[in-house]
Amino acid sequence: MSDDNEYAIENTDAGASLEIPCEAGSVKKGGYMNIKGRPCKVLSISVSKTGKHGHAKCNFETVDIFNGKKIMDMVPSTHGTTVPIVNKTEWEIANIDDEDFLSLFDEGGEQKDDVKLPTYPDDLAKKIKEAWNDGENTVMVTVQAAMGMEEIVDFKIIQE
Amino acid sequence: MSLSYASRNPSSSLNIMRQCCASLKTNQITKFELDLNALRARPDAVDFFLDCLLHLNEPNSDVELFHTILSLRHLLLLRYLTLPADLPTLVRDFLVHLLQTRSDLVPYNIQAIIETSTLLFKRSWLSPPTPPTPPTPTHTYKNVQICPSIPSPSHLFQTLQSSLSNPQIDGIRILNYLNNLLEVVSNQKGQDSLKMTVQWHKDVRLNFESYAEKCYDIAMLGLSLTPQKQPPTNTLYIKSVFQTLSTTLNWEYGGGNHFRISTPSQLIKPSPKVKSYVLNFEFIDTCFKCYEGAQEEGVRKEIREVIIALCSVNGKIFSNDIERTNYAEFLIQRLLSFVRTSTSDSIEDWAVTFLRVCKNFKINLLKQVPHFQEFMTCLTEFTLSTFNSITSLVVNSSGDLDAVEDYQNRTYDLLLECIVIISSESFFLEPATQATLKEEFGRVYLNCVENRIKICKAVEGKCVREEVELDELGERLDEEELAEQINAISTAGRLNLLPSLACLNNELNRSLGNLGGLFESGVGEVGEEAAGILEEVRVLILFMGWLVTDEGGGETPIIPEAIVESCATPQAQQISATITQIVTSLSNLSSYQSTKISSSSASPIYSPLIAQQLMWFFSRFCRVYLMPNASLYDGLEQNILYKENFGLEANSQGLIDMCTKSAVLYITSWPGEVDVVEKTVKMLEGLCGGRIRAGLARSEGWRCLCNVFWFVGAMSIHTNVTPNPQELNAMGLTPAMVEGFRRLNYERRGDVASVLACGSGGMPDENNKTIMNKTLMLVEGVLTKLATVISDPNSNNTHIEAVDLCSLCVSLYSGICRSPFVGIVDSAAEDSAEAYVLTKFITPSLPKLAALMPIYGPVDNSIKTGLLTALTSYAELYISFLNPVESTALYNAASEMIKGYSAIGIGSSAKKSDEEDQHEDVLQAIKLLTHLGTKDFIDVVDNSGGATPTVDVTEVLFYGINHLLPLVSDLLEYPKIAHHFFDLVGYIVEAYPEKLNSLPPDFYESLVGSLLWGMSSIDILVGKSCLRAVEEMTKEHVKNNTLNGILTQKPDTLKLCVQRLLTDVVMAPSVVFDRIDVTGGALLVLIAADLNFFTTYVRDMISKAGIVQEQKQQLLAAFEQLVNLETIQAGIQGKGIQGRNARVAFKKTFELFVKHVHSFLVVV
Repeated sequence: MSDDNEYAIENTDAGASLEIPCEAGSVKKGGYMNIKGRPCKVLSISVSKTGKHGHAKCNFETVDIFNGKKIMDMVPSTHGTTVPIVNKTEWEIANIDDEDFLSLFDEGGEQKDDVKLPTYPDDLAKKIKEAWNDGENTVMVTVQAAMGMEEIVDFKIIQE
Repeated sequence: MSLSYASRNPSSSLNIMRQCCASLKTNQITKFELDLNALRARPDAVDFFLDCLLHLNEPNSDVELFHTILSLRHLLLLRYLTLPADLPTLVRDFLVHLLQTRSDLVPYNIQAIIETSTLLFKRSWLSPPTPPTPPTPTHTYKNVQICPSIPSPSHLFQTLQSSLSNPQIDGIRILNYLNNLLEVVSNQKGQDSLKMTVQWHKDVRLNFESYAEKCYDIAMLGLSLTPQKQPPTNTLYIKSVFQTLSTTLNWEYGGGNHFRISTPSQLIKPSPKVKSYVLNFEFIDTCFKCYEGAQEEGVRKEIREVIIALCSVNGKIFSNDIERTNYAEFLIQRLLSFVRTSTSDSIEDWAVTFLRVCKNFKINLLKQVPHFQEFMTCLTEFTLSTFNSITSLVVNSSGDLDAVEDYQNRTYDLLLECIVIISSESFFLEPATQATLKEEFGRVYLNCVENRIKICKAVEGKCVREEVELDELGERLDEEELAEQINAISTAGRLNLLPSLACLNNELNRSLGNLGGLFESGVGEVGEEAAGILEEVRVLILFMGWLVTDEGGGETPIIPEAIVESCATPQAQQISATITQIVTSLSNLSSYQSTKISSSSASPIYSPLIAQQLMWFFSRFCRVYLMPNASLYDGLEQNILYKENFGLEANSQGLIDMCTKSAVLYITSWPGEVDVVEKTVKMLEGLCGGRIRAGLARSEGWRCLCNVFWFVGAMSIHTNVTPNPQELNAMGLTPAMVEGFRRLNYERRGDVASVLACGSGGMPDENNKTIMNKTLMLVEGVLTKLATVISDPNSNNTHIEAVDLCSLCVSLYSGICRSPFVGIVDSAAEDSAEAYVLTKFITPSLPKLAALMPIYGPVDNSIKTGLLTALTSYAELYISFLNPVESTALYNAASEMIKGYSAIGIGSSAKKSDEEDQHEDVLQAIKLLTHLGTKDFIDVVDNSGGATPTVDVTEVLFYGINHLLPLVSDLLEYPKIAHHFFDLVGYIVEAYPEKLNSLPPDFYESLVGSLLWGMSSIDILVGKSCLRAVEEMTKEHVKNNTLNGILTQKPDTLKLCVQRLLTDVVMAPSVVFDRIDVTGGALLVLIAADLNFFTTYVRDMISKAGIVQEQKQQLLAAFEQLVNLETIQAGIQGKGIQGRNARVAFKKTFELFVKHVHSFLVVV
């Protein structure tokens, strides 16, 4: 079959876009979608319509991946939506300054100084600071990036 | 009766009791309860309360008397075996005496007396009182003359009968006593308080049956005395009479539970011994006369219960059919006059009587009943009036369905059930009766169409007016209910097909005219009126669909017999023409709507539901009426339906063209309307069967569908493929169609791939070969591109776009893998090389698909599930076609995939979800292994191909289970997963017990552990699978020592099986008799495997059991009787019939053993 294949294969271009278009009906529970420019994780999806003869509408119950706020949205089946490209990277903390900015570096030695301690969840910043102030161990943080925003979403202590 | 009892100073006892009850009057409930419990705990409590009972006879002692009676009941039943044997009997008889003599009793004390006395009667039913053994004399005993004695059940009935005849005694109390006694003996009441074994309750009930005539005597005597009862007591009296009659009539003979509240279709089978009472026209007449005279609804309700019971009388009580016919005639004659004048609150009961008559006497007998035609007319009138009132209520309340009472809906459903029963057996009737039936039920059909439209319009109008948001589930339930009703009424519609079709045709023409006006008007919003028009059309499509086609799930779709037959009558021409007219009207509607939405898909006036309903209709219609296989019918080729409708190729191409064209437009215009797309794909699947497929390739719509599928697929592979209007035009496409198809959910795109493969596969012509090849090439192209992405070191495998490509790839493969092999089967005779085109295509891709699991499985759950589903479908549909090389490829891919899946599955799937659906991946993995297991069976059975896979199937299966076991163990509480898993494990252990010896010891232990868990499961199927597996595993070991190796490392596994089987299955309080057979089989081999252990364990278990010594001895004796070494030996070693007979004998003995043991151990 392959010999007759008339389609040439090319590499995909991952591109640098922040989001990709997606149909409302293709968004999956547990996946991501953008609502009013905010990247959100989908908690539940239901389909409804006004009257039996109405057009289907997808109702999404989501949570903002950066501030944890619940956001609801309704998208008619004839419309599309966008899905954010969410990246998570691991960084080691080199320093935390007085204004709560972190100095981070990754495995390859690349540095990053533009991330502040997170404001959500409430106690995450405090826990990271405490872990860091302990002094003895390496503290790794997970930085989540989507739609041009970056935020620390997790941390772990590497025992030395 | 006299009694020696420890009487103290009665006034002291009464004072204590009064003080105790005084707390109640001041609302000190807790204090009262504590005081009463303290009194019940006194060592002389029985004597104390007895004292109170005998002396509480002054006014204003009602509360004290009530608690005295309840306390005595509690104490007597609790200490029954330790009390002097005649003490409970005395109390029982004294209570009857109170009932007869004390006219001042308040109702709650009457009830307490009746319930306590009847319970005590039941307790002493089988064991008459023995001479008293005097208790330790702590007080001065004196003989007291208390009341007349009732020494036996015969005396009780005699007492009740004489009391009823005695004008000085309240007859209501006596009737209620009998009523209560029936309820207590039949275990409807008070079973828990007796704490006796199942067998005991059963014995009492069977013994009681010998007094059935006495019960009838009393109830009939009660009925005969009704004229003597004067107002105001007569109402309650008559009510009691009929309550007792109803309970007596509903007694279930033969040891079952008798029932009063039963299903509408439940029949009863009284003993022939009571024939003279039940089949007594004078009695029946009296019942109806009493009903006529009764004013109060409570009384009328009780009489109706008796009439319902009379209509349900069935069985050996009738000596012959003449007797049955006469009985039915008498009942029907009486019924008719009442039903016609029934009031609204009684209609449900009358509908139940009608249903019981229909179910009970069947049309074969009813047709001999002189009043049968009247009965049908009455049934028709009743149905019409019920539905008319339901419709009026909904319409007058502007679409509020809650305006209809539940009983009205239930009544209508019951009446429809009657109509279905009679209609489906109408061929038994004489032509004249049949003609009447057609006419009568034809009216019901027309009325139903008319009213249902009104109701649906009103309800939809309300939805639109109030902007109600409909949820999927609610709507689906409503739909199912509506479909069920239309399906039922269609049975009546087919009796008189032409008027039914004509009615639908006229209504459709009218409403399509309105719909056309609506579409052309350019209205932007769906208002109330527009919604009404749309709803009317939808309901008519439903009616038409159900009238001309059957549901026939899983069967070869065929034209309903009633329609084929109608088309061989003088009306055939008109019927055929009307069907064609209706189908043409609906085709035109579908074409019009699909064309309109292709340019304005968002316009709210073009209802997706209409599209969905149209696709539903054509899906059902096309697979039945388009070029049907005439060999399935008698003389279809001469039938006008075949010759002039859509039977011939020339007549059917137009409809195929319309269907495919509409389909492609619906899919591309409304990719987000999931239900429309699903129904459309289903309709296309319908076109892929039989001779219709030849017409597909000739249709423009099919070519468009192929083109749009290929073009959009190419866009996913090549970044330089863009929609060019001219190029698209040449393919019959538009940019909007391409855009629409691009937006189609990948899973649905997989469906389209499946349909294309199915529609073109195995067809000999070049056109179809091209379609098949291009479709498969495209699917392969997507996989190749994905492989390129994965192998490129610079690209990110898990980037969202790569994941998206993988999703598409998996969906398309999944579609191809589940493509029904109709093409293969059809073409097998014509071109066998083409027949295996799909298996040849899929085999080389299998390793690549398996390799996707570890990369994309952890990233996206739907990919993980999709990959497993694809392989499962492939294994299910194609495994019997695979040659050894292809089989090997499948086994290897399955092993790899399950290995990859188990590595990632623990992280995501093991997290338990509230919904079983969330674990579809686990289910698919289990199903995959199950289907792989069938190959061995197929090859053993069919040696013609000589195909023997080079991979050992059992190794793959055990390997798979080993990987799945950790994932599944937490999910076994989900019934579907448990069923499939234990089916698989049961099958493998049963089919390959010799392989168990070579398993890794820990895996073997886990496997047996899962069987131990499953054998005591409350789920019968799971239990059976596991018990069968244990039986086969042990049997093989007993015969050939197959487990010797593994048992040296895990020596306790079989012992654990014995322990679990005995404690959690055989001796479990709630033994499941449905699996007693397999339990016996498993026990037989386990005993044979290690008799010494079994004997030791049984003795140990019995010695530790918390039962009395006598029961321990009984239990041990029962076990000794069960273990008959000769039978066990023959069951294991015996060959052929001898072995089978021995096994059957052991199982029978085991069943008796279980029943026996549970009769003295299980207490309810």
